[in-house]
Amino acid sequence: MISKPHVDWFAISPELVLLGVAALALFVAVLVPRWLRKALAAFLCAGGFLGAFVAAGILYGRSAHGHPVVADAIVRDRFGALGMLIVAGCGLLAVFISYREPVRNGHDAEYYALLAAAGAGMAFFVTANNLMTIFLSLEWFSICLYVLCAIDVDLVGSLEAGLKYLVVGSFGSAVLLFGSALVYGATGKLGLDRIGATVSAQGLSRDVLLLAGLAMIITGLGFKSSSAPFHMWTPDVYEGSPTPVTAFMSAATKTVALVVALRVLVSAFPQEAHLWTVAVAAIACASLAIGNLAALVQRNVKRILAYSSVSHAGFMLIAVAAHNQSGARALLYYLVPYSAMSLGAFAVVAARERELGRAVTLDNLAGMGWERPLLGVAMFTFMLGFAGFPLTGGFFGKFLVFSAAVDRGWTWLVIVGVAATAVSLYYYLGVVRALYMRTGAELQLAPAGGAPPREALLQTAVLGCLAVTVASFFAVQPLVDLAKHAGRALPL
Amino acid sequence: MFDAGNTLVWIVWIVAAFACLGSGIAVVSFTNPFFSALALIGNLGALAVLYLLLSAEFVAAAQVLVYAGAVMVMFLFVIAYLGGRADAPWAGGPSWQQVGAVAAAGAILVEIVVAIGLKAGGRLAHQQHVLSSFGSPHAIGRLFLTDHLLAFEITSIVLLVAAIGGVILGSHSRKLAGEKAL
Repeated sequence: MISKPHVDWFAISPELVLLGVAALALFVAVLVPRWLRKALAAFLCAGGFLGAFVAAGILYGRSAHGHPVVADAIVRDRFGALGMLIVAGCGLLAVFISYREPVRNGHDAEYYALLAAAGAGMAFFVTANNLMTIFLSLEWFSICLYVLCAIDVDLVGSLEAGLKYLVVGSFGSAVLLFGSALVYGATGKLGLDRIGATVSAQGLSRDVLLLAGLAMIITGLGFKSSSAPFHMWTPDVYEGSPTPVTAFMSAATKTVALVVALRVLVSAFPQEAHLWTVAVAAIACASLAIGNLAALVQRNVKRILAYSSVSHAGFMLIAVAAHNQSGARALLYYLVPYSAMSLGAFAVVAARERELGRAVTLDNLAGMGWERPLLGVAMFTFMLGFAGFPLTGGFFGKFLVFSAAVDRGWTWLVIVGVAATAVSLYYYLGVVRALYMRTGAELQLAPAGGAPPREALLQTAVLGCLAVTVASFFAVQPLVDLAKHAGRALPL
Repeated sequence: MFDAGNTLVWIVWIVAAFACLGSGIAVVSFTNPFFSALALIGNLGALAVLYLLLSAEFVAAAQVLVYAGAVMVMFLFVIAYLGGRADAPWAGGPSWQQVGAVAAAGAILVEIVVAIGLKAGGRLAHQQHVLSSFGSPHAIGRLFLTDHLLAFEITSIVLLVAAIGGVILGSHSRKLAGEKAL
């Protein structure tokens, strides 16, 4: 008789909701008449993300004392629950942004099924507690994203983006797997906290096999969070994929990759902190430098935002490198406004793309601020938020990240961050200039056939992102408290 | 002191290890996908021999049956179906990217070899006494249902998602082909 481990169903309820919805959406794809498919699948998917959001919220409330569940495969704590909350929120907004995305060759219901499945994989990823579940859930949501990137075969570059992401992403996963194997070889343990315990008990902290494995794990997670020098795929994939998919990836994938990077490094490798903090700080500096400098010369708005996301990975890695409670708090706080701004900015790009029927550049963005007041004001706010201006959450995000670095005693990292912010102003304000400072006469591509239809759902999503961006400035204390309680779940 | 059994293990190990490396290099350097697939079968077979040396008989058998057998037959079938279009991965001489990639891969190889060599401390082979049940289907099945229950279940979802994704992308290309025919 095998004694099966106790399964805490409540701890995996957000994943189960999303998986159930994905299955239902697949049934919709084959059983429901064609005219109803898209609406029903989108409604189900939105409901699933809403359900997962509520479940993750309750989980956050009832998991004050973090503990591993289901044979230590995952951990039930506030840190993971907050990650799930952000992912579910991103997914909900992504459904709204996706709804009016044209074509997809009749694969609407499958699109929403994969979106929900990707969300479920991400929810597992942020709670994963051993190297095996980390790798498997990483593959789970990555495979969904590979297909989502390539789903619009008719769109120029979509298939190419999917293939590029598949090749580079598989490479990153393989490096992560190799690193996990080396760490397992050195310690004989898979669970994160057990690795840390074994290392301190057996004095393995200078073990070469363990250190090689640690370096490979950092590299593998660096690919997923698109931090330099592992960012090469980011601009091409972000540019080629359907814009709603890009929006979801830029917000949710980065969130989970950074959250898991912090959890793995802090739980499994506290003895090697003197090494990995330096490595992560170096990656942060590289991301800040490469992301910001490369963005200066871009004309395509999606590429600008892609490089901006590389540089933001750098900012958030500063918080990881700080290796203290204020760093964990800063990371979790910053992820909320960052996700909202990123989703919102790509949503505005998607709206413009649908108006023009071609890729959005700084030139054909001209005058949009006057034509579309709501989208213009929103984009203006997102750009200021990315640059870290007050009245947006980006300001406190950067402030908390820098104060974490100061707590650690790494003032030089703050100087690098401030210099990067100064450089970033050039291209963020370049977008604002394109929105407002050009006359309509400069506009080369007038939308033919009168004003294009307003998209209520997309505008709702943009409004939601705008609300989160601004609210995270005014409601900074409650959010920081949430992040602080979540960060306490980590052994810092 | 001469230990015939140990020497035999060493010989088998060296042959299998070099077959593994050689066939791996062959997979990426053949210009004909059909030959690449055949080399991949050799690679998977050599890996199965290495598993056998580690007392993992069940995993070795599964490797041969599932990967070298079923999966590779599918590969060869698909290649035959699509027509083996020869690709030239090294056309136009080596570019700086290829040189850089090979150099980086070599650096990682050296790093791993040095790490494992240092860890082993000169003794490359250890005699490890394992339980007779180690690697048996019984022991593996028990692990799947106890310690790695969730990982086992997640694997099925990963495979399902991959299959669904393959169908979605595949039905695209079929539709496009149909439109072209019209």
